Amino acid sequence: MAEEHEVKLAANQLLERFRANDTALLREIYTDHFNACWSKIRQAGGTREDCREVFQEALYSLLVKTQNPEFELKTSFRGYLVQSCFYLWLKARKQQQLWLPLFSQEFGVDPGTTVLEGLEEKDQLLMSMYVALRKISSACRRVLELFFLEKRSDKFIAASMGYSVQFVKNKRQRCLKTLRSIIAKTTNS
Amino acid sequence: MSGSSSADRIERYVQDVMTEAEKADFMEELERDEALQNELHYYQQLQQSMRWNRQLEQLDRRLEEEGFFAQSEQLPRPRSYRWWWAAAAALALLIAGMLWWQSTRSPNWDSLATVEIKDIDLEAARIRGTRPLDTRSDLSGALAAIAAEDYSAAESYLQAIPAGDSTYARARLLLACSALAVEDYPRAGAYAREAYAASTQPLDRQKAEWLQLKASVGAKRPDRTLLDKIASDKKHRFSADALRLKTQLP
Repeated sequence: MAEEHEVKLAANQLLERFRANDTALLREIYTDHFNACWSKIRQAGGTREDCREVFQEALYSLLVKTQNPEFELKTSFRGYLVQSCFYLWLKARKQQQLWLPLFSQEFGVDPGTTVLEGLEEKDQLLMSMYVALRKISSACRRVLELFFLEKRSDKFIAASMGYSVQFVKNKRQRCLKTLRSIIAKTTNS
Repeated sequence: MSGSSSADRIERYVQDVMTEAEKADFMEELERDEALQNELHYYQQLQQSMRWNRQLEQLDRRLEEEGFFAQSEQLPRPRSYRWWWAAAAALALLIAGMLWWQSTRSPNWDSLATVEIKDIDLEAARIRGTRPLDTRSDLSGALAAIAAEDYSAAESYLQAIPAGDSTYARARLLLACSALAVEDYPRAGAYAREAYAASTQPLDRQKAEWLQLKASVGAKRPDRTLLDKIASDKKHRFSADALRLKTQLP
């Protein structure tokens, strides 16, 4: 019991570092836990590239969840990540209906519950945005990142990408429209 | 909120390029306009999502450059589940096949529980399709009701025949037949047992046993002991039928 408490405590201390925007934390998580996820995905026949993708998605989902101050992990941090990665991997292959019951026995819990637990309705938009941002073209994403993240002017973006200023404005609107349409589809599916 | 001007203003706001006056106006409007609030929230979420996405992707790229994933590639290959998965899939297919086979083989219990009235009561069989008999006696009324397939009326007539009556055993046999016809197998079994106990003729007892067996089949719990007894008794009126029934039961 005491050991279980220690495990949860350690896991939730990591969450606190997430909330405090500890920049070194993500790298630490890769170093400490990526191989555990990779081992699981590999056992199931997945590739290292698959694992890299789902590991990022699992971390993203955790970043979303930690926005909620009441979110807590009920298992070890590694256990949570392995289950998340495995669930996301199966989900991407639309195989969860077939294999999850088998692995739920192995994990002792339904990995789907682990991944979805703590995700609130309001988080759905952020989760859909993750998917949408990875689906739009790299040019679209570059235009949006330069504008919204780096807060560059249309003139700057036009010069750096070899477009006209008007083209940049139009492209941004088109990209935003595409993004919304993917988000709507993801949210409804 | 609608129109490009609002979109432009949100973009200017999130880019943090508004003048102080412009920002004050925008904040004032934001307080009043729920649609504008939702739209701004959308853009702020988008910014956050892009920030996290980029952070994760950059870290992934950096780790690749540092050879982190190449090292993880050298992990000892764990026990593969591939064969296990194949075995599980084969097992699932086998179970599905067995279920399908069983479902196609599963007997129609009700059909196996039906009884030809001619095998039990020749008179009842003979009057079927003819005009109803004189209903002065209870047995005649029951036979007429059975002929008209009005089993509820038949039961009323037959129940009225007292235990000491000479037709009591026959009435119980007919009651069992009526109950089988309406698929009331527990009652059919009970009537058949009463008929057996009241019968003095060996043939009536054999009919009672056959009805009892049919009632157990209808209830999907065939009485195997009785079935074996009837099937193995070559002199039993229903011996051949019992042997056939044995091949039809799972």
